[in-house]
Amino acid sequence: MAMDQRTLTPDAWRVGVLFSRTGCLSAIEETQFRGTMTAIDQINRAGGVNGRELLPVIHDPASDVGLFRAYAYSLMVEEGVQTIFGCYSSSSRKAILPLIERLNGLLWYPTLYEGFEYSPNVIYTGSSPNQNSVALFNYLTRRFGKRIYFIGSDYIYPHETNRIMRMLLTRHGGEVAGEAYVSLNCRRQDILPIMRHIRDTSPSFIFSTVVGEATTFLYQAFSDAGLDARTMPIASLTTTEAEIQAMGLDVAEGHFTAGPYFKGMGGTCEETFVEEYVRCFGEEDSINMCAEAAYFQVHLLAKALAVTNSLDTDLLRPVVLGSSMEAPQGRISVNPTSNHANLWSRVGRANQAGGFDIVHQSHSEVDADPFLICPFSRETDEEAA
Amino acid sequence: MTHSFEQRLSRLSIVVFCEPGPGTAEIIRHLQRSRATVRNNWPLQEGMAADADLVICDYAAGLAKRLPWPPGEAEAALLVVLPAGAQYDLAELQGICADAVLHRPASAQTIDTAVMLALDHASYVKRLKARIARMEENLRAVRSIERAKQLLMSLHKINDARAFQMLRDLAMQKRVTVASLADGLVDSVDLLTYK
Repeated sequence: MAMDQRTLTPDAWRVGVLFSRTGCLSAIEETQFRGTMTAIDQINRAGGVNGRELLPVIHDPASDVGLFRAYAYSLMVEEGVQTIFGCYSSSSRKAILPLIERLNGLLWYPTLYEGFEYSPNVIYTGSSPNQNSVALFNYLTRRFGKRIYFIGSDYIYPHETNRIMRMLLTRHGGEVAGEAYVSLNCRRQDILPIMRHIRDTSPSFIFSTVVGEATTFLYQAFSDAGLDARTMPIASLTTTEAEIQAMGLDVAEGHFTAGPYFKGMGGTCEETFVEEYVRCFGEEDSINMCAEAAYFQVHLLAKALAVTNSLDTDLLRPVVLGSSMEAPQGRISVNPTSNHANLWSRVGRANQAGGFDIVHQSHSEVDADPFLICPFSRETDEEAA
Repeated sequence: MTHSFEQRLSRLSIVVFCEPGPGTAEIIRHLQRSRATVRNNWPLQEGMAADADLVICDYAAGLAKRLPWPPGEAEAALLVVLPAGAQYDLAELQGICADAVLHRPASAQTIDTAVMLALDHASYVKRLKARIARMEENLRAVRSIERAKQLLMSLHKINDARAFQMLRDLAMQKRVTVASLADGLVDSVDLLTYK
């Protein structure tokens, strides 16, 4: 990409970039890497921050939690980097969190996650459960019924997200039709017995928190089993445009995903984001909500850095908290009480072109409530009624 | 002293409570090179370091009682300077709850090391305390909302969801958080039913 050829000044702002470009989560983490690099390139071409360019110090943790920990240490201790953009899985975030907190770094985490966490050393820019799970639950149960089959990858995020969905289900008088977990490195054949069980139990819809390559296996197995998305769709928080490209557009059509951003939403900021992304990487198929969060969080940092003129975490933190900006998804802000971003809540249905048609969206950005203290917004409750 | 460490020090207000002498003068001179604001006060008096970021203090018997804060509730990083060759009481030192110690005679390198460790440790403890406070606040909010819902359910004979909706609607009208409204409701009922 263009930035690789640029000559960076010795006084560049050094920031860590820690996304897997190899291993089982590389497909999705590559989109976050690209979102990050797109923003860095855009900022640098506009003159950097206070006349100094952003210099990404890049490591590939290869979807290995141990390597995330090792590279985070290397970045902070050996390479003198305090601000890190990184992590997709909750396991990787949890692995580096003690180190980030002890050494007073600042992790910018651009991934939807299960909530129930607060760290003064993390800025969370992906959706919390009250911003995606609740909207998806209400939309799907109203249209398809309240018998849900849960399937997820076997790690922290799916287990915790399903716990929240079961809570919602109990609250609204629904029923769990089944629950199954597959390995992060699962094979195609591992999905088949689960799909047979799904067909036998005939749920209203399937709630998937499967991530990585297994997502392709799940949706393809659904299609191969002759199941119909019009009557029993898969609802997901993690299946984005990038996964749809991998599984095949016909396979994904009709299934639902909740998120703050879907490609092609329109608006000046979104168009700029897509143009910049294509300029850097020559394609737009992989643009998704993860890339968007990775993109706007770099701009949030740049905005704060212009004020502090320092990457010192203690100086940056108070400026970042409470700040807001126009992101591709719309206006967003960083909630100062939780360090989480206030984001839009949207539900999209996959279309023939590999994108999503938005079938539901909030009236404005939704305040992050990672501990689900007040999880039920007026509009989502009305929809569920 | 590295550039970034020097920059960090330059923003600090440091109070030195050490007995005047060549060793203390060396410590102060070294810290002043970083452009930190350094004040020297001797002897230690109560409440003198309230606005400091770092307090550097000579070890002395009974020091814990003369610090400007109760042990464990430090408002600044605390670096205790230990006397050269003299005995000191480990239990007493533990009771002072210092963030780091500096042995006399001090060199530039040992001063930097002790100051860095003291600042890092104090800052980490402060962040952990902030995190715990946030969690406790969340727990209190959940408990208040639950209690407020129970009160509304009992008063209006409504279900859990309707009670929450009432709370939320009122909070939106009054432009306050649901948790603070619930706090107010619970406090009012406690007051009205106080016997």
